[in-house]
This record gives sequence, structure tokens and C-alpha cells, in this order.
Amino acid sequence: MLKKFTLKNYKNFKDEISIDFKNTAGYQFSTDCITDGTISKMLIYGRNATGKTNLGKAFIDISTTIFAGQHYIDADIFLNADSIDEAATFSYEFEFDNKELIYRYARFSNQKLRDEELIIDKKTVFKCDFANGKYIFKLELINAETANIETYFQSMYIGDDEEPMLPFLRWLISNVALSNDSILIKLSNYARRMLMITAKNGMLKRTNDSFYKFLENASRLKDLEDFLNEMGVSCKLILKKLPDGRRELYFEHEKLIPFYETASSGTLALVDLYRKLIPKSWDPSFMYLDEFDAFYHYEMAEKVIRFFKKKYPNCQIIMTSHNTNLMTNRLLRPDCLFILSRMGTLTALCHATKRELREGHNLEKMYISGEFDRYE
Amino acid sequence: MNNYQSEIRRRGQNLLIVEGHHEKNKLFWLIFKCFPEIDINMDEIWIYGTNIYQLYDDIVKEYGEEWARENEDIDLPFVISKKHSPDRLQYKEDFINIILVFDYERHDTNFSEDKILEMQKHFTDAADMGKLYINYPMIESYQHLCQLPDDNFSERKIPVSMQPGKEYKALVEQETILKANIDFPHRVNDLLEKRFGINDIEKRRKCCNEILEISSANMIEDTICNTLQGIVSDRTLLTAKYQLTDWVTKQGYAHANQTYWTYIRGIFQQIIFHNISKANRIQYSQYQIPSDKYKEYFEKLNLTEILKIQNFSSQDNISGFIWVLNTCIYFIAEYNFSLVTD
Repeated sequence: MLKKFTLKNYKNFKDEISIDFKNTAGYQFSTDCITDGTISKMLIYGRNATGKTNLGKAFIDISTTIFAGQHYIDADIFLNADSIDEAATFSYEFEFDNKELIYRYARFSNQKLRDEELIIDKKTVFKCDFANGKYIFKLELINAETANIETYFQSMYIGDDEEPMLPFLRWLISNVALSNDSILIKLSNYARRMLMITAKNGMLKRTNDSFYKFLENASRLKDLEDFLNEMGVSCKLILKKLPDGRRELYFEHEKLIPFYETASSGTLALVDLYRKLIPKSWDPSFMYLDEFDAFYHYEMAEKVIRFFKKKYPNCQIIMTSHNTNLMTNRLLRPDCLFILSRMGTLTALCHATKRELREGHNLEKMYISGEFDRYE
Repeated sequence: MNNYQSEIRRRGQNLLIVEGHHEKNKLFWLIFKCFPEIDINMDEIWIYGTNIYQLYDDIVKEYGEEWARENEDIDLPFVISKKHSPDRLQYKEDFINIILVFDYERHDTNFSEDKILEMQKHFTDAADMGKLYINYPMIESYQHLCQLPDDNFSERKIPVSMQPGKEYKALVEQETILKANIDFPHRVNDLLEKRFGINDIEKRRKCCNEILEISSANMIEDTICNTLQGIVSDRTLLTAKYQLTDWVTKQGYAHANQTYWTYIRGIFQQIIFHNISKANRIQYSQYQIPSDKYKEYFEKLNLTEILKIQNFSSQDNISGFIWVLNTCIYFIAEYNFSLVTD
């Protein structure tokens, strides 16, 4: 599990911002938001343009560092525009089987790494200061002393054009034989299963054919239908194969109604969420769901959170929302509800007031009336 | 002013609904001074004077007779502003604290067990609809301790026949050991104004504050001299110095190496402990509480149950009695119990 994430000088986060998933407050309600003493269901509020989306991008930066691919890196402004620092720093603290693993690195604006460090149980396994050409390797700590580091130095600048430089950790994971119980394998498994789902990217567009193919199985189509019905969209679906071989999804009525052309924004958003999660053969380790309920009725938003809790009890899920109706102890708790401020600070409700927050408090009303306004 | 400006919403307000009674404002002023964590500025608080039955009628007018049974979400800032400034309506969404403080006035001609119970049942959260604190028999009960600690507080009650309120007030004044402490800021203020002729409010306030901030015995004289230097004449300065030094010494805060505010904070904490024990005595027949268990016991108290017991024991006009209990002081403990235990 990810214990703590610290970020600095990235996009709108000029100053250091830290999210400590271990900082729980011992509430006896909504305990399904906590997994093994770690916050696993988190909901972030914040005024517009405080950086909720940027924060999500920062979180999953590690997966682009460990695995090649430009999927999430956007070419636009990377560093904070008011800072004179030359690099943005990312630090991830994990806990795998009672072992602490810290992976931290700094990137220049061209996204080349400035430095990179891996620390396991307080011992540095490697530290690469690329800018100054200083390197420390203690690979025996992870039983990887046989790794031929020379090969790394030979290959570090020979990535594809879009990748300015090969991170050492990526090289290590993909080129060195590690035992299955190696902590690096656990890290890699975690990072590989990190997802960010935004309300924007292509959500309302027609889906590709592979999803329809997936739905060809009648029980899967029924599952989607059940999902929609449970979340509050009552409908009956039918999938047809057209003469030209394409598949098309319909609402079943006396006449068939084409799904994608007519479904409401909320229904489309819900199907998009389904499409991105359910067909996967693996469960995500971490999900950042940006404005996850932008198109949902408030009851649907609540149902979706309950669905997440049930379906992914161990997954660390961070959601962002403007729907204050979800700010309730029935569903979440004051140490899992956060406010991202204009200053780039992230504060749990229980730390945003001197008042002792109790189960009976109406958090939504308190938020609206300004109880936490110093942290907004 | 640009083209897009609209009315700015003022959030984070506080509403204190009292019986139009000076004593209540004074108590809350002192509470907020001694517990700055609560972060309410008394100068910015909206104080509204009414009585509980008038307020009840106003609620009925807006929400109907059945408001309590139907569990209506009562918006008191709205009810009050609609009545008094309909062109400037206010809503509870802009208020972080709504506090209602009323005396248990059994002899009030409007007294109604049902109405007062409905109010107590529904107004339970200061951060939401509002919280009702009923003081038995009156607000002055917070001073009704004869020593510290005062174990006799356990059985302290007054006969229903003791009325009007003036009589109870006189009794408290006669028995309390806290009045001199509580009144001190006002007495200093009066002294500076009436005896030493400091008429400028700002100057006087500054002097008072500096005197109340003294936190060491050997600083008393110097601080008083420095504070008053240039404000009162040299001749009066000496008298003032002697008199105020004497006063501050008698208060004891400087000798305890505390400012007046921290010293009174400690006294408030003791008052709260006494009243938690007392409420527990009333509701569960047990006065003594293990010192590490106050929070636990406090959370089990139920103001509605206590009101029922008070209603019951005070029914008879001749033999009936009222337990002396102050509940508005609980506001501090409810806000954050650590304020009481630090």
C-alpha cells in the first residue's frame, strides 16, 4: 500500500504537499474507508482550479517512471510557473509486507530525471545523481548484486525518442531476474495497477469494439445491465451484430434505440466507468477518480462509492468531487474527507477545525457555512 | 468594482440567542476570551434577545404546529431575520455556531413542559440547527460554587417557591467564591474609567488587557506603571499602582504565573467538571466520576433526560425543587473536550 506521497514544484504545487494515508483519526464509523490502518477511500473537495486533476496526474507519475510509455505524461507545462527550482520532486513511501520502501526522484522540465533514489527499510539501495554523475549502488540489499550496471549506463540514453532517459529502477525491474517475493516485484505490481480516470478524456464518446465484443457474452451484458440498474438507471440492453460485422448496443424497447446516440450523460459516464474497470482481468491497486460524479445524481454518486467500497476493499481510491452531499459520516469520515486549498495544501476535515468532529455532525452544512474556510 | 461583482456571501458567522440578558453575553464573552481556540470574536457575534416561548411561536409561524413531530430542519437565522429584517434575510448555511441559552423559568406564565421539551429534543447541534442550553434555575448557576472543589454541589437544589429570579441571583451572590474572579475585567475597566478618569475606550481597553496579561508576580508593579504612564497624571499613577497591584495580587493569577485568561480558563474547567458530575448525579444518581473518565461520562449525558427529571421534580409548587445545574458551559466541552483537559 502507498503510505505517503510527497510532491513539490509540480504544476500548481509550488510548495511541498504531502498526503499521509496513515494519518487516521480513530473514528469508529465508516471503517470500510480504512484498510490495514491506511486510508483507502478518500474524497477530495476544493474550489475550481486548485489542482485536483494535477494532483491525480502527480500520483500516477510513478507508473510512467517505472514503466515506459507516454500515456499520462503531458507535454505541457510541468514545473510550477512561479518557482525557480529546476526540477519537480516526487516521493512515494510504500509498505509491502511490513517493509518500508521509499522511491523518490526529481524531474527536470523536459521530464528527464535529475536524480533517483530507492530506500528499503531506511537503507539506500541505489542513488543516482544523474546531473552530477554520482552513483551509489548497494544492490545486494535486494539480492540483485549480479546486475550488470555497465549495461545500464550503455542503454540509459538509448530509449525511444520520446523518453529522454531510462530510469534506473525501470531498467532494474525489467532487466534483472528478481525472485517473485522480491519487494521490487511488489512495487512494480502496485505501480502497474495504478489508474487515473477523469471525467474528460473521451468519456462520452462511443466506445471501441472490444468492449462490445466483451459484452457479447450474455451474462456480461446482463452484468452491465445489473450495474446500471443498481446505480439507478433502469434500462434493458441488447447487443446486436450488424450485417457488416460491427456490433451495436441498444436500449431494448418496442423499437430498439441506439445506446450511444441517446444515452444520457450520466448513463454514458457510468458505462465508461464500467468499461474501464470491469473487463480488466486484474484489480487496480490505486485509482484516482477525478470528478468521478460530475454527471451523477447525488444518489447515484453515493451508490458508486458504495460499489467501490464493496468491489475494491483493498484498493486505494482517491475521488474528487464538488458534490457536497457526499460529505457525510454515513459514507465517509472526517479523516478521509479532504479540502485542497488555493495555496496548495490538502487538509482532512478533522484537521481543518479545532472543533472535535463527531459522527452526528452535519459535515456538509459545516463545510458550506465556513467551518473549514481557513483551509479552503 | 468590475462588471461581474455580485453580493459577497458572509460565511462563518455566529448566532447567540439569549434572553436579552446582559449576564449571558458577559459569560460568553469571557468563555471566548479564555478559549481562543473556539475562534469566535464576541464583537462580531450576532446576539438576539428573545424568550424561549416567543422563539417557539416564531418557529411555529414559519414551519407550522407540527414542526417538531415532522422533524423540520429549522433555520433560526432565517426565522429571526425574516421577523426583524426581512430585506436582509440570513440563512443557517452561513453560520458555524448557533447557540441558544435560556433559563429554566418554571414560574414563567408561558411555561410549557411540552414546548420546552420539544425545543430541547430538536436543538442539539450548535454547528447545524443550533444547540439549546437550559440553565437551572438560571444562567447564574455557573457561579454557584462555594469553594473549589465543592462536593456539596452534588445536592445543591433550590425550592420551586424561590422566585422571582432576583432571589436566586442574590443567593448566588452571597454564596459564590467565583464572582470576584469573573467580574475582574469589568471592575478594572470601571476603576480606570470612574476612579482614574480614562475616558478613551480604546486606551482603557488597552490598559485593561495589559493588566490582565500580567503573568508573573514580580512584573505586577512595573507593568501597571508602564501601562498607565502618560495616561493618568503622575499623582494618580502612584495611587493607581498601589490599588491595582493589590487587586491583581488578590486575584492570584500573576502569582500562579498565569495571565488572567489562563487562570480563569482553569476555573472554567473546574466549573465544567462540577457540572458534568452534577448532571451525572441527576441523570444516573452518581456524582463522583473518576478523573480520567469525564469525557466518557460527559458523552453519556442527555439534556432531554435531565430536563424531564427537572420537570418532574419541580412539578409541585410547594415541595418541588430544581437541581442547580449550568449546561451552557458545556459548549466548551462539546466543542472539543481537550479544551477542558489541557
